[in-house]
Amino acid sequence: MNLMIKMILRKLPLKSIYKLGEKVIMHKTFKKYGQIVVVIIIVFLAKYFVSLSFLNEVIILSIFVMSCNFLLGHGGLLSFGQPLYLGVGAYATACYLFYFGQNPLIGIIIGLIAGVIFALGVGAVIIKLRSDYFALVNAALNMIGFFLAYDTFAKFTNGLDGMWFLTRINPLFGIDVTIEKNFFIFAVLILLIVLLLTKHIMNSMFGTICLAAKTDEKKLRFLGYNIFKIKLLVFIYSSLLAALAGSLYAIHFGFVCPSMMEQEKAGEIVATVILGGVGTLFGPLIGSIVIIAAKDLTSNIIQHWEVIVGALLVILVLTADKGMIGLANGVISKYKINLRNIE
Amino acid sequence: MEINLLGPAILFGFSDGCIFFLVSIGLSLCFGLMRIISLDQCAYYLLGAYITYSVTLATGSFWLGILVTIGLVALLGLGVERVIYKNIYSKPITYTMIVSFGFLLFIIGVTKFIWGLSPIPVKAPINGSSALIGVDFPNYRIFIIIITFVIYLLISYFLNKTIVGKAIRAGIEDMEKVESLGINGYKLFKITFVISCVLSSLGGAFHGPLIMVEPYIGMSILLYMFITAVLGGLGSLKGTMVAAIIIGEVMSLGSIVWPPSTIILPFLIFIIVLMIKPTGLFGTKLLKR
Repeated sequence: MNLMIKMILRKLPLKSIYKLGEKVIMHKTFKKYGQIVVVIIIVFLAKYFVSLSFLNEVIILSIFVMSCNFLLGHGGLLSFGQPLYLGVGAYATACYLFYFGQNPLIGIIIGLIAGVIFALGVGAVIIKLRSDYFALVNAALNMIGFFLAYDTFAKFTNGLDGMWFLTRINPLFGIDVTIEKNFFIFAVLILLIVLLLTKHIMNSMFGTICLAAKTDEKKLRFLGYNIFKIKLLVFIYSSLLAALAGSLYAIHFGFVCPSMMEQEKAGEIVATVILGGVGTLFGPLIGSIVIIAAKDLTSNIIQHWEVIVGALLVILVLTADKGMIGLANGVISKYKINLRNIE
Repeated sequence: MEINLLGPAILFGFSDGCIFFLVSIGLSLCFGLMRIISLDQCAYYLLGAYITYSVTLATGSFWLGILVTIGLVALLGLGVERVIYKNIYSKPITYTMIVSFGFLLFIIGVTKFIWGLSPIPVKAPINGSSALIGVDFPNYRIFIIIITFVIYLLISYFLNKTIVGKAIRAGIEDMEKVESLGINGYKLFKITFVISCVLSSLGGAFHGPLIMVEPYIGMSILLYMFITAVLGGLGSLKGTMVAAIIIGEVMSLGSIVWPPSTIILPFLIFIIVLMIKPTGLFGTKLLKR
């Protein structure tokens, strides 16, 4: 990408602009985070091509998928119960906005805190389990959480009817966030922060250690690292992202209901992660675009999306791809363009 | 809790447990021998219920439906094993979970397409009820208990007295040594997988008349199947039977005490057992391959 920008700039007659451009591209921060900025700009400009509600849904879903992607790609932990953490964040924000206050930003912060505390409590117990047990204990917890939301705590959460609080959401710094346009800007900003943070974590020492722990735990233990703490931190970060996505859902729709935590969604999320590319940064974004577009396009035969998702899962795992990002990388390296690979 | 509900609850729990046994023994054997988590046993369970229903509707004979189900599911299992599982035996276990889950989703979608979404009530082949210990029990449930017992004895005989069965039991413990004896490990895998699929489909066929058959029963049985297999110990026949009866009884008795406990109690048991004894009730040492 740097080369392409260089070639474009070279065509311009003014040498000084070229020199300035070169300085920017060669700066190490741009090299690290430039792709993210470009992607954010593309997402922002996409509002002129596709509907805003589609984009909003994609952004929120991609944050949720990023949580599952980080858990699977860096922690090596497969979980069939991620919607539970989404629900924790959503319901925490919903309870705050319904009963206590009206500021959406504080609502999101409360959702994040609830997500972290919940993940800390649950993770400390279940991280030690073997991979298949971990996946299905999460599924079991998901069902228990669903049941708690619609039955046990129905006094507070209104059971299956869900909680409505759209009118209670105050404007954030004077801008009403529940309007599609304003929410879109808000969501894009949050996506930018999340992408930067995740990229920073992935590139840091911690990210490398996570990948090492995924490959060979024993050797890492010999080096003196505490595997339990590493996996717990990965788990907490992923639950943080899931709770953030839940809070965004709550604020966007002004409505939460137990069906956000349905167990059926768990399989869909895993499929989206693998579709986009496990362990990559932009995989979740691409995956959620494809999944939501596929669901919308097949909406007249909506019964059949499971066939597509299921078949995709089988084919992708068998061909050992890295999802769509892997395909893109393959295509790019085929044409031998000296572009840095998309992450 | 009423005392006169206790008798039927125990019998119902027994028969539900038998169904869980039929579905879980496949997962248990597959994991024990091949180290794969075959979540697609639920897909064969689902297909078993639907194919039996369709054949019974078309020809009027439940037993013909059972035979057709066994034949079709065995073929499907062979195909799946060759196409899907052959390539991922060497990969980490997570891949098998994802792939089998994907296959399960695929089959649920196909079932939705062919038979539609609406729940179908299936007629039981054996009607009437007999009085045992002063309470009326449906004959069909007694039949399920009897036939599960017969199947258990058959599997037990197969695993203990035949060469193939003994090879499978040895393979569950140590596959390398079995192969060094000259036994074709891959054939054992194929046989075990097909037997598992057939048993799961029988579980589905027998369970059909007891519940409303709809495409998502494939998903709802997933967790109970896994809980039963883990509770009993992956790879152990006796353990799975005992665990299935326990889970069936707990759910049945729980439902007359406090209805929501049918959902909560099995999961609580699951989590507690995993904390205390991760290998399950009758499981052997934790398996590394």
